[in-house]
Amino acid sequence: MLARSVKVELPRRVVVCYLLYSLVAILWLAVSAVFVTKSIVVRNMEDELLSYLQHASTLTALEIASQDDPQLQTLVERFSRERSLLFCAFVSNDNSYEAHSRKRLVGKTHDAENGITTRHGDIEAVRYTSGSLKIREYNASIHAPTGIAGRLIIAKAEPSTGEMTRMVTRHAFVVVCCPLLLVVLGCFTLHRLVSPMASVDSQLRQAAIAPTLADVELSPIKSRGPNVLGWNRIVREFQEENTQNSLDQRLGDAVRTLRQGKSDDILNSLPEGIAVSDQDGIITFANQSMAALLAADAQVDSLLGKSVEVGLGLNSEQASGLALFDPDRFARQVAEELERGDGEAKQVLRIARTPIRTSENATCAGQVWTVRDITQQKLADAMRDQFLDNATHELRTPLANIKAYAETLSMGDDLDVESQKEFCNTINVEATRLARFIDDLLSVSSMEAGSLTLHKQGVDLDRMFSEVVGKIKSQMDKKQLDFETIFPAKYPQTKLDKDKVNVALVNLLGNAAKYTPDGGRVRFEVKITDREIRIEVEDSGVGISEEELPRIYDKFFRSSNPSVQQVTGTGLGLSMAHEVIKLHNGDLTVQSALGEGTTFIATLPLE
Amino acid sequence: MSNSERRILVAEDNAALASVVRFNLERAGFQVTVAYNGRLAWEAVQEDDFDLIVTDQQMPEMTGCEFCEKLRTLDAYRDKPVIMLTAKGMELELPRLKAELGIAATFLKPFSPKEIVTAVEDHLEAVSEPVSP
Repeated sequence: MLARSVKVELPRRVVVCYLLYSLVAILWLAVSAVFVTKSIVVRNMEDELLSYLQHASTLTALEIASQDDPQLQTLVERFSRERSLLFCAFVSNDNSYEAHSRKRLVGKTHDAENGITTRHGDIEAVRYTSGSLKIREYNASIHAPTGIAGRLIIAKAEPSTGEMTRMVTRHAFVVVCCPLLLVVLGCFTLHRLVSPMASVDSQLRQAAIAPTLADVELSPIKSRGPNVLGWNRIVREFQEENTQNSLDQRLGDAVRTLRQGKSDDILNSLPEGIAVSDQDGIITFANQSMAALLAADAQVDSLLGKSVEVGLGLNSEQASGLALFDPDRFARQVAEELERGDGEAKQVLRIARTPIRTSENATCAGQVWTVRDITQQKLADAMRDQFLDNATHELRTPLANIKAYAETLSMGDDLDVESQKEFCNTINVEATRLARFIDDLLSVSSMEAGSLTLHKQGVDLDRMFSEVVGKIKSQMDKKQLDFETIFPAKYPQTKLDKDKVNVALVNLLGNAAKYTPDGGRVRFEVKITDREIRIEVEDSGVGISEEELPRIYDKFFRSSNPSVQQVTGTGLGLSMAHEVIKLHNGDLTVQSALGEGTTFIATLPLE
Repeated sequence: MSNSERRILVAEDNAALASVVRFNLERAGFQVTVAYNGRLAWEAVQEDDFDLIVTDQQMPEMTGCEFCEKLRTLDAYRDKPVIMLTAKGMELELPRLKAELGIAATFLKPFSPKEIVTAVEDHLEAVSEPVSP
């Protein structure tokens, strides 16, 4: 019921109320009109009857005084007719009807009626009810010269309420229709005035039930008037604020989402594995890198809920040996290196654990674990250590010779000239070797810094290759290697950095000599095509394993093959040769089989 | 026993260095044999009886330490003085070498040939003293 009434719009409700009260008022007016009219009519009738009675009394007295045979019957009948009286009678002193408008009553005794009696001067008025009629009866004494001749009575019925209603209804247009018309007009005016408020009303109702004000859709009203202007202004400002608020909120949401997403993205794009464990050591968060490092299926989900030990693939015995899992040190930061797997799959992880404290001096709420794969770094470190070792050896060996020969020379007075010459020569050779090694070191440092530059110039290829052979020949001879050289009959003109190519080729041939057992075979072949110089260095040496092939051009890399390890070397030769040939826009490729030999093919474009 | 009766083996892969060590030891009067790698040195000690061995640590085919370990398995060389030359001072610790392999002295390259000769003479005397009357 309430719900239904709520649905009725404000203007209609206002109009209905207005109509209801108006109709009641009109009804009240109409009824009042009937009664007021009636009382006026009755009063008028009374006044009229009183004055008429006096007039009739005078006429009757005159008739009695002037005529011997007064025609009283005619007179009363005339009186009754003239005023449409109920009846008119003359009662003699013996209280009988001497004349009566109703002729059959003449001579009958007049019975006084019971009713309310009032006096108006000489006139006595009696008001009584007879049947459905309310009757007013007036009598006045008639004075004759002989005294009182009798009484004249006139009676008239009061008009009935029905009669009055009919009378009023005859004026209904004036009494009811006019107000009704005005009421209807009022309805329209009221509706027009209230209808803008209806929109406000419905919006206010929405505001009453909406969970937040932001959900209310306030709309301006298409109408005129100061109140409408005021409302529209409120709506406009509310909407602006709302828009601003929702914009702010959306922006806030977006920024939050972005931030959340971003911090996740940031954590996930870190190369370091990051995990968080709770007080029980159970992993509650892990990033992608952590999963990639630790989880067999590289899925973050497979780490969550596990203990850190299990996540790291440790058994309880292994874990108890690590400071990371020492309960006495949980309150402090600990970092440790952990080796996992064997052989090729060997991994070195650096694991750091930091306690999470929610506030100063609070007990730790868990741990943050960072795991970094330092396998490559360890390999690089090992390679660098190896290089330093080798470099030290390479530096000390010629230095040892120089010192030993110089000292021997300085001490020996007994030395013949031939020996002195020989010793000086050795010193010279060793000094050259030392200088060359220092050059290599500098080249490497240039390579490291990326500043190895070429100084290209026109080159006599024939001479260059001869120089290379000359430098390497003694090394080949020392090991009694079958050193085969195949050169073209004629060389084209080209531009190269002669010194660097020279070093690169000496390195390639030097490796062939170093890693080929005594009595083996080395082939050095140069071919000229239309566009390039093709240089092949083939040996029957120890060869390179398939696993190590991709790493041979890495700086400081040296094979783990024992036959290679026992020969000193810096791990720089191939790296340099590769770099030099690449800088010439050439290419260095390798074919090798372990224990069978290696072939390096260098190509240099002709310029 | 004079120096000329002393036989010394020099194991060194660097020919120039082996040559200058040999020259200095011979100038001091010793009889010197040179082996150019660990394997050759091992063959030499099995064939000949040397009084003292000077060996390089880093040599092809067999390092100085490996050679030394094998050497100590031979009865004749159980107590013979060995002097080691090395270019890698850092990784070779004298106390450990002395304890495990009975290395008498180590020389870091570059070394003075005169000091080598002095060391050889000192260690030969130390060995021979208890034997002399």
